[in-house]
Amino acid sequence: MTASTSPLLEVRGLSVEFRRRRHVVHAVADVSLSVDRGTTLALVGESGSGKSTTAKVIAGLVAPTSGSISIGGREIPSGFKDAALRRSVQLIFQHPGSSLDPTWTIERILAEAIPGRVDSAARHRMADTLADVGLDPSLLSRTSARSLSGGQAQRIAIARTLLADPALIVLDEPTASLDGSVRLRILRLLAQLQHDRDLTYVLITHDLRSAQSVSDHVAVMLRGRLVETGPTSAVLSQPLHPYTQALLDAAPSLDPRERDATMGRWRSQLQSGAVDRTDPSVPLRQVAPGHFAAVE
Amino acid sequence: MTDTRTSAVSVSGLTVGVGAHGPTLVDDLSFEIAAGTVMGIVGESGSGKSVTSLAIAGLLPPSLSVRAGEVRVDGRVTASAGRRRRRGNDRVDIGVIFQDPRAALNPLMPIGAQLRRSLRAAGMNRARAESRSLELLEDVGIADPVRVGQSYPHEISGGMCQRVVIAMVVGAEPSLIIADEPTTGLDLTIQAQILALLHETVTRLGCAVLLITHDLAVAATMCDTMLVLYGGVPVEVGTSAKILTAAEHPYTIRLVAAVNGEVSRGALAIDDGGDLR
Repeated sequence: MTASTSPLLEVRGLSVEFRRRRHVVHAVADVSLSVDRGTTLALVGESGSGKSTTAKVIAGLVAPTSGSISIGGREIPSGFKDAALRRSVQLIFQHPGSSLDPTWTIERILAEAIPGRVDSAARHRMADTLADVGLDPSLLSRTSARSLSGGQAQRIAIARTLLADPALIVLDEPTASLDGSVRLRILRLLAQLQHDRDLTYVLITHDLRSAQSVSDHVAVMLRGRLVETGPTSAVLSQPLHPYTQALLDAAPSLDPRERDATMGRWRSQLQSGAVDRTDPSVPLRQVAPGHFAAVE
Repeated sequence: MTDTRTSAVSVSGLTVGVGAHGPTLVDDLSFEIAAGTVMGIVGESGSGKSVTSLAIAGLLPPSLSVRAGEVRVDGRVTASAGRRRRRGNDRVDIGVIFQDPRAALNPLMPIGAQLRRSLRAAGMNRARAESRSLELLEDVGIADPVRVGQSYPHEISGGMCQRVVIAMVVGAEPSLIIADEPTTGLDLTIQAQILALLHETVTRLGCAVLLITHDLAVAATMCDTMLVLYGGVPVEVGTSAKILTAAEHPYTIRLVAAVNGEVSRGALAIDDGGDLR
């Protein structure tokens, strides 16, 4: 981990409300986060936790109801239009195929990320970037994104993201739709690129255990609120919030010796229904250096 | 398993292909599942695991056919070459749980009515089906069975729908339950509860379960034995412990290593830099 100066991303008091007919949905409620340059924050939560909405606000796709966001010390105005600022934050989605137009050539897909005309210098950059993500530069002239595998499509989405020269990349479940062996390769690629280019990642995931190998810090969300945040190793080894513990208990283990213990934890979750009763509205408090939890 | 329990399910030489002369999707598959145990079929997309489950359930689409081999459940043949669809009594022997529980439920009929109907189809009278349907909903952890019984599928969550499907399957007391990615797409905490429920069911009914999953860790927790499929070909069969710790086939070894690598700390370390995690 690199010694930090000022955080690259700072989110303060973020709230997002959606109006549904007569009632208001509090998708995100008073969330504050900070991510240092060159590090990865894993934003962990289940469906309805507000993790994806938070990601979309950071990427400028959804306007916050209140709160502020700054990137590289620069405050981002609500619904920002500044193209350069927009380009500095990029988003990678779960289903890479759906963000690639199947009728376009790979070159045209990648060229979208480069401002101005596509000259020979731009073409060189595109070919180099394809090589950086482990693809053959001859793919550039391929016409259809349909003939790509899931792993290849995600690599192209990553290449397009890199061509925009971002400071921050928001990864929304980037490997959820990929098979096990491909998943590891994409995660290795993302780690390599982060190392080579000093990239900052916000990784959205539903699986707390998978955050272990890929993140420096984690933030756990439940029903729109942060319930625990801190260094990944501290949160995983000493989870303080009952919901964080429930997420860890729910994760299956590959170790056959753990089988009975895991099933025992699942059974007790089935009997207690503990997750449903967790009250997320308790305020966060610091329990160890940098480790916060919403516990009394 | 080394005990003397009889095999509830026996699959021998099962081969499935497209039409009579098209590509072979599953090639010469043989395995047995003892009553009261869970067998997992693991494999990546395109490995043929879902085709296998459909063939065993007798639910292959018209374009696919069993070319060779047969499937026996409690000694009776439920699928074999030339046999097209499942027949009358098969349905009480085999219960199927699919990935999308909403697709398995009728959107226009209250949950309770659907459950009663499936119990009536299994031969219960009206009064017995009425009381049994409430018991079954309680058994799958639904606290308020009367209210949920009156709800339509769209009014309850996906996890709740999957519980209802499990209740329906359990109600028919099958000899074999096929669960094809039963928790894919559900939250992890819901997955844990659904799988615990399924496991409890096996213990209670003493039936055999065939669990189809792409998630090796889920298989590790649920299954007594595993079959690894790759490109429609069985590459390894054995106890879960053997597959996970002492696999012999290079594909199995790679698959286990990849999943292990993803969850272990330091697996993504960069060779040249050294300062990255």
